Amino acid sequence: MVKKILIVEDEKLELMALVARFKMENFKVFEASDGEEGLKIALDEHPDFILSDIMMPKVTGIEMITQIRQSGEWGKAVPILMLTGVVEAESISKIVEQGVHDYIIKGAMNMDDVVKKVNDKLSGK
Amino acid sequence: MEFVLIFFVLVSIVVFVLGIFFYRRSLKLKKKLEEERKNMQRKMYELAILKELGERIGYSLNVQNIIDIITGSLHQFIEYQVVSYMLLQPEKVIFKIHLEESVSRKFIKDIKTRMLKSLSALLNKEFSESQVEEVLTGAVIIDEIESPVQSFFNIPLVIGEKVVGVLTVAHSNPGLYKEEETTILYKITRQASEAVTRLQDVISNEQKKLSAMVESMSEGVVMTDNDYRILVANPAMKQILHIEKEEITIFDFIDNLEGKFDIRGKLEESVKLDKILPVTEVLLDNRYFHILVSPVKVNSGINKGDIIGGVVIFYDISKEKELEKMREDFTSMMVHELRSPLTGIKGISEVMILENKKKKRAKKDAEYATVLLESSSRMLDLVNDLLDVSKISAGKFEIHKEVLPIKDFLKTNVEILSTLAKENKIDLKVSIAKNVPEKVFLDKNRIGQSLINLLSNAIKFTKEGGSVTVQVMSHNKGESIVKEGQENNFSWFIDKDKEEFTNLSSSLFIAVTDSAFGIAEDDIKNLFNKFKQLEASVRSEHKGTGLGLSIVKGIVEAHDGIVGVFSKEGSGSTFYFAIPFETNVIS
Repeated sequence: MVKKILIVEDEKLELMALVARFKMENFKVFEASDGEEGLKIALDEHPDFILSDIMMPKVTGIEMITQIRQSGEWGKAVPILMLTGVVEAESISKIVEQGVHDYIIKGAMNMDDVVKKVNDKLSGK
Repeated sequence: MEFVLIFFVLVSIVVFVLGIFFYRRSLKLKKKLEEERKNMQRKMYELAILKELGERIGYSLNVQNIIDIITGSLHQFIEYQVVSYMLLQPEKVIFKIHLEESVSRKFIKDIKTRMLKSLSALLNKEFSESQVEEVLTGAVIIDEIESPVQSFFNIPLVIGEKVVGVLTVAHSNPGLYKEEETTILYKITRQASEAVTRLQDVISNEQKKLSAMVESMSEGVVMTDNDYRILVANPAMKQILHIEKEEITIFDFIDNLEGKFDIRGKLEESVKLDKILPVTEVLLDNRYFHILVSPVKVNSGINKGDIIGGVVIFYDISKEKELEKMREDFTSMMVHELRSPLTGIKGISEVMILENKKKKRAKKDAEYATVLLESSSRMLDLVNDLLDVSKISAGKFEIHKEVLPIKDFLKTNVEILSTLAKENKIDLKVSIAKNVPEKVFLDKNRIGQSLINLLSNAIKFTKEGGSVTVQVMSHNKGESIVKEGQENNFSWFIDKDKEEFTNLSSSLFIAVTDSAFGIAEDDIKNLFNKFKQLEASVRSEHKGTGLGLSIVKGIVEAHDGIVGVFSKEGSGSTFYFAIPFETNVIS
């Protein structure tokens, strides 16, 4: 079965790259460029995986996932991978507290890594 | 005949009378001379004693010390059974009494009453017995001696026109203290008083200068004595803590600091350890302060080195913090703005290349995508390097150490570059000494990055058919690294033990040796300098920012290690770094 992934990112080029890559990896991709739009799509479509930036206009990534986690059975369980530009340990612990199962620091981001992390999580590794 | 006789008688009478007259005169003269002589002697003695006293008083500023010296020398020229003084102190009166001979308790009490009375009269102020702190020295009290005080002389102690106490001599014999004795007492006390007054003038002048300086300082300054009494607190200090009243105590500080800085505890610690304690970044009222706590020591005289209190200085570093924040914001903005689009471009070109392999699009597209990928990768590396450099120079470079198996660690990182080495037809070798421990404790990403930096440099500069070797060993503190290398059959360019090797702790020693063209002596010193490297990279035919080595240096130094290079022009170079085991070895 084709897996559904939601990608939320306000940087156009990055969003484009991620979308193109996951489409190539045979995902059904939903895209959003801010937290508000992301939240709406997430609640409508109940994707199998959410990949999201943190610093975004309107609704931030953290606010978005807090609301998703409070939205019933699906919201509690959906795996979430955050992309973050912030490396400080404090912010990272905050991200993890919010129910994120993993994060990737943008500076060190490599598309192959992102794809691998998503696939590993979905196949239950 | 009779006339002659009468004449003789008259002459003899005259002679006799004259004789008596002259005799008496000469007696008087002799007596006077004797007196003069005695007087002179006395004056000389007085002078000698005054001189001696003056010397003994010296530059002491402690009034009590001076009076002790005076009372200790007084018996040399005045007779008394008891000498005593009363000295005014804040909230008490010191009463020191020295018995030259035994007297009764009643005798002492009498003196005490008389002295208190005269002190009250001099200062126009009442003193109660309870304020008096009594110290008794000298002969023992014998209550059976019933003789009362018959001679008593009281002299005020004045310093700078202010009465600070009274000095008294007393005896049970009557009529002892006449003009002569009282004069000399006056002279002595006056001399002492003048000396102290003069010195106090000097001191108060100095103090005025010092306090004018402290007052005008923009840093907050507060000084306390060993009992945490506030000696000085300048306006800046009061303003920082919003203290408005004049008389302040340590408790005002403790209250107004609201637990953000333990001023008393730090003062105690500083004085106890005899050490200057810096406290960084204390936030008070939205302003950042750097606080220094230091013991205050006497720096001359017999009490030299004694700690007499502590000083606390508040430096306002809000401006610096603001600038630092601006710089950080700027860096992160730059990095975000550059890195995000680059990541995007890189990602998209990767997708294009992958899709091309599948769908076999036009060959031109694949070419474009490859160029895009290469350029964006290079720019991304530069941005990441710049971010690292800016973090290192801002002291914000964080390392996260973990325990890891050294062999796997080396293998993983060398493998990353094996493809590049193969492409360039370079023989990439690894040699690990037997004495290297199985596990080490370090930041695998950062040390890995350092090793990769050195290796990619080496591969980049080595010509086809050349070789690059990684050599790893354990260095034991105090051993010669040259010798250790020989024992491990390492072949490298490390041919003498540098000064920094002698102080190096036992470490993990990693060296990368290439067979490139070596580096000129003059260029070596600039290798690890980021600015020089940036400058050079602009003109260089080789790709890269040249920041790699300064990042390696930052990483290694964050591990308390050392980094360096040995090179032989025309033959090659050995870049090395050492990470101390102390914090890294796992037993």
